[in-house]
Amino acid sequence: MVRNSLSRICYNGEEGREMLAPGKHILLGNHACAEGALHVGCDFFAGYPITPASEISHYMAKWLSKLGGFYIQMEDEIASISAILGASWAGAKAMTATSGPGFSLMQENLSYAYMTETPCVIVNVQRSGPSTGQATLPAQQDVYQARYGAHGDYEAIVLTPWSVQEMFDLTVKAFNLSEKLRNPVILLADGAIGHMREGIIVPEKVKRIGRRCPESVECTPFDTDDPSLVPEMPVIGQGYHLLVTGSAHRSSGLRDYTPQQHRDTVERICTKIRRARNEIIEVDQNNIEDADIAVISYGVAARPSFGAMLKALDNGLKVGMLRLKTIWPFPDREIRKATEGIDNILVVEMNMGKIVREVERAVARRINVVLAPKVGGEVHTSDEIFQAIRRLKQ
Amino acid sequence: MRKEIIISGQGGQGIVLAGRILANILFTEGYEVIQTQSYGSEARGGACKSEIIVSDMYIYDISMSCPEFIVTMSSQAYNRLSRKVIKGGVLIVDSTLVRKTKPRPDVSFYKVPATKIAAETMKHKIVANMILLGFLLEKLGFVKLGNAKNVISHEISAPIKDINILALEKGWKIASND
Repeated sequence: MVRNSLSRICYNGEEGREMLAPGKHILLGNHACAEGALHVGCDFFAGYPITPASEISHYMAKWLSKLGGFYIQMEDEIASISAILGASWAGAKAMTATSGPGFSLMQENLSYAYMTETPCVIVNVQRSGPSTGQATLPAQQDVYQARYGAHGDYEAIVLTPWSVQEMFDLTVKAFNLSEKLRNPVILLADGAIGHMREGIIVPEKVKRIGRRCPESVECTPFDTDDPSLVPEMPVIGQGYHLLVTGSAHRSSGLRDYTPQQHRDTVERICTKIRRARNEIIEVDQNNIEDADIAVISYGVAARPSFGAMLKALDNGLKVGMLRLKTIWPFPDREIRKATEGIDNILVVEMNMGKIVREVERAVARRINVVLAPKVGGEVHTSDEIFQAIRRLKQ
Repeated sequence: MRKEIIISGQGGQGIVLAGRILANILFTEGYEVIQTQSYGSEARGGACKSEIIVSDMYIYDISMSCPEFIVTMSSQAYNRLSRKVIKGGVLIVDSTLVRKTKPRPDVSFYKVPATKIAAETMKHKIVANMILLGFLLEKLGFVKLGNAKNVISHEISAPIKDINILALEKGWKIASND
């Protein structure tokens, strides 16, 4: 049974503005994220304000209830993620948005979400850390936290937008993957993209994947024979005998600490994501076939990287680019395949070097991999990256 | 074509609004636009800045590197930013609020008493930002006044829409006579 969550849950829906009409608009990145969520049918948002993510909360507070959804400002980020997990089990398409310090607080229950296979979308609009750092300025320092921050074994799905358009598009994709795979999905944005206004095109039709619910109350919410390995998900309060626990459990949800049972569960929740990797992973390839040098970047750092690639091409250098729209699961196969015959790889990221390690692993030292890092809250310029490309040629 | 524009002043002067409207005007003219803003935690009085990049191509460099047009509505903003205008660029100051200036012979330097005009002629000091926006748009040279007025009438609510449009026209007119 597939259900459309917006039509199902209606909390005193008020008359008001509808969602942004299809067509061209100029929008703040954070608003585009919120608008994407509204378009894909998000009907529950809980959050706690933090720069540079607050505008997502503001926008949802203003519009979600008018579209029949439900918004709560919580007392902190721990409560925020708890609320969206509860809402998700109550049948809602649920979301929260935060930045680094708040994302740290969410890690415990993020682990609970992986274990209980609870669909939800968590937006981290990254700011420059560690700690309070440069609260208003962008960074890409939470790349590993988004993958490994929560305890235990799991597979993270992390998407990185490079434009206001992708704040919309990848939020839609995040919800759809989350519902389809019963896994949290993290939209790893940054303060530059979140706080910038730019043109976007709202599509005529937004794909909405609904939740698969069991037909009968006699169901196994935590196991399945389906080759996707994604069990159907019951809704609390609809007659299912439902037990949801973060502790090791059987297919019914009943606690079971036996080694075999837990091994099966952990293997299944990891394998379901690994099996779906081709659907999750998106890598934008440009000019890579003729290139000697590949620039690999993602999120905001990919913008000036692309500009640098164009400059290099103008200067007669053979440079191509791989832009990672998905960073986890890491697109190692795609990178390996695309960089066959390449001499050098330049990884551009706004941190001290994170994805560069994954790239080195992917190409297994067959190719020289060089990092163009940047910290301090400033986005790279295309000139800086162009100079780094030139140095590789010398 | 790529141009970088900064509108700066203090919180409460409509700096962010002017930047947002400028971005929308350029966007509706069909250009690629990126607009950002920064301000202090104070509602009024803190330093405030709106940055706009406009281009006829997709914008890959999203940070300012060589601002060609700078409008300043406070001494603090003037002192901080006036040296940043690139050679051959345009520097516009509200001369009612920025009294002490240093010569910049390498740029087109315009002193517009926008706050005085807004207070005396238009009876609303608050529309000084729109006078300066009108002045800036004329100096930009590739924007249609009619389109700019249309955008304002969409962006600003009814009771104060007309006075803002009048202020924009006023600024445009001063610039074309300058």
